[in-house]
Amino acid sequence: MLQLKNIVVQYGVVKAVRDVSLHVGKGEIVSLLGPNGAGKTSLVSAAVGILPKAAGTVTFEGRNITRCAVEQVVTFGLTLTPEGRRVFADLSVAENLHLGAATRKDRAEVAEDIDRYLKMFPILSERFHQTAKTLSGGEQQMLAIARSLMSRPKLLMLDEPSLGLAPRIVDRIFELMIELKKTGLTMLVVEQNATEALRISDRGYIMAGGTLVYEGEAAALAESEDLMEHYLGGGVAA
Amino acid sequence: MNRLRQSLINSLFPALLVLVCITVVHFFAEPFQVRVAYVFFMNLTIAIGLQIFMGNTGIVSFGHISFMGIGSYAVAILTIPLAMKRILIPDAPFGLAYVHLSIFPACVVAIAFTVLIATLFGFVLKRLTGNAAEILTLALLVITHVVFIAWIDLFRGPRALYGIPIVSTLYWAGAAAIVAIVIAKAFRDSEGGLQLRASSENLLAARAMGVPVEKLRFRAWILSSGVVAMGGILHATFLGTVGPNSYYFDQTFLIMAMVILGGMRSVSGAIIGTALVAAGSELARTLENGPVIFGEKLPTMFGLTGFFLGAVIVLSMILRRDGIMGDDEFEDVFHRWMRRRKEENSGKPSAVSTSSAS
Repeated sequence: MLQLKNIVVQYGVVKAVRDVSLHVGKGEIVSLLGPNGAGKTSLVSAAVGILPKAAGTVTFEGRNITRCAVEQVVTFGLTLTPEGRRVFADLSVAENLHLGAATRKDRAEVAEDIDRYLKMFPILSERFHQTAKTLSGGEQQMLAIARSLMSRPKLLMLDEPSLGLAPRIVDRIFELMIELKKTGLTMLVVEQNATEALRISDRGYIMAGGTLVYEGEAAALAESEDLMEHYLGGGVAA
Repeated sequence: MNRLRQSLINSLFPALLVLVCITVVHFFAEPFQVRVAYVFFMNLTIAIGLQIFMGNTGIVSFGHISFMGIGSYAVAILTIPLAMKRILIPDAPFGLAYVHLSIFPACVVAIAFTVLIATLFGFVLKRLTGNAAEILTLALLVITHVVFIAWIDLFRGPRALYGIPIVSTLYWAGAAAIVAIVIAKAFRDSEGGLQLRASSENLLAARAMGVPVEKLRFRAWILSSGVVAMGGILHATFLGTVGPNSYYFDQTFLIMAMVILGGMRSVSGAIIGTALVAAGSELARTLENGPVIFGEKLPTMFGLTGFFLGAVIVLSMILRRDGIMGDDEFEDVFHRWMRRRKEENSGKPSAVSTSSAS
């Protein structure tokens, strides 16, 4: 469904991502793991067109989207939930959800979708008219995910959805992803929390120092203690 | 359509304020007070024009007063009688020395021309963010000023152009202010306005949602340039004369102080800020001349008005960075007040639910 081929992302002379290729199949949850500074966020940001790519191609559902602007990529059905719960703090929950549908023109269906996600995330319906900054960390993450879903993605990229959240909330978020998978949504999850992410994933990739160091079935990855220890446990990149 | 209707309804209150103000001035004011009120409405139009851009994009603009200047000069050059133009600018390029329009077509052309200049500049500006964009707007102000001064054939350089028909009245200024308010409110509440405000708060997230940030920024820039040009026309057609120094740093800081004090993210804030700064500068101007109060002659304090504006900006930066209104419009304050009153009247919310259940 999504194919990244030989992607290079460069900040000046520093290469944050070097020649990375990966793919996500329809209906899968794929995790992209790795320590801080491995280039995971740069890779997904470049994939949707927020960051420029120095080289490589991105194909989504057979269409080459390497040179497409973000607003176009979103209309094709590829949406990124950026890292760090970037909700619009001074805007209300309602406005945040509306903004998720920025690329859509079908007003009536947007309203229907809002109803659907308020049922899925009851806490958001309680806080519908409050500004997003009054929400707790977990609630803000729910809002960020619901907002991304408002664009009706076929493939959702979640960048560090568990970052800075209490373990109980993290469990809720991962349960939610399993529910979303049942609705047919494909997901690419960027995580440092490898054990949790692999539990819900079909496959996994490990990045370190800007390159892909391992790929495989999630179960196999989770069992290979060496690998986990080496790249994720110690937090030291190769 | 629903949003538009809502923002029209929300514009009623500030529009009503303007009308009340005009009525009071019409019946009770001395001629010099009418002049003060006229300048107030003119500055209000310009401040709201600036708010359309600054408030929605979050980019501070030092350049909008050039649109005031371009609008003023355009209307001046088009409406000064031909006989007078032959004396003032006989060598005007593009045959402009022989062009004369009546006032309304001239206004339309002046606004259109200002918007055209803004469009050309906008192509560069929309790609930039933050400091780079702000410095670029400053450059725009300086460039226009230099063009006014150096293009002597067309603008008569540092000397003023005069002979513009003085046709504008308090009512036109008030009408322009109302038009500006309606445009600003409608844009702020529109889908694009909301998206733009979101992008100014968190650019990355807005872009990830597919908000076309550059396109919207461009739109705000163009729209605000047209509104500010309207203010420039009010200036030229009231004084009958235009000179390059009216459209430079002094005017820029006056309008900036108004928008920043009131809260640049809110249209209502721009209105309140304009009113307070206008009242304050009027007071400072009186004190500047050393008035006699209770038989005591105060010393003349030259430069007090400028000091006052500086103080307003410094104090609001220290005490209330978001300005008096912050993100709120009049209607937000009103709704909050109503909600609080309702809660007080009904006592504790839990008591209500039990009584209705039983």
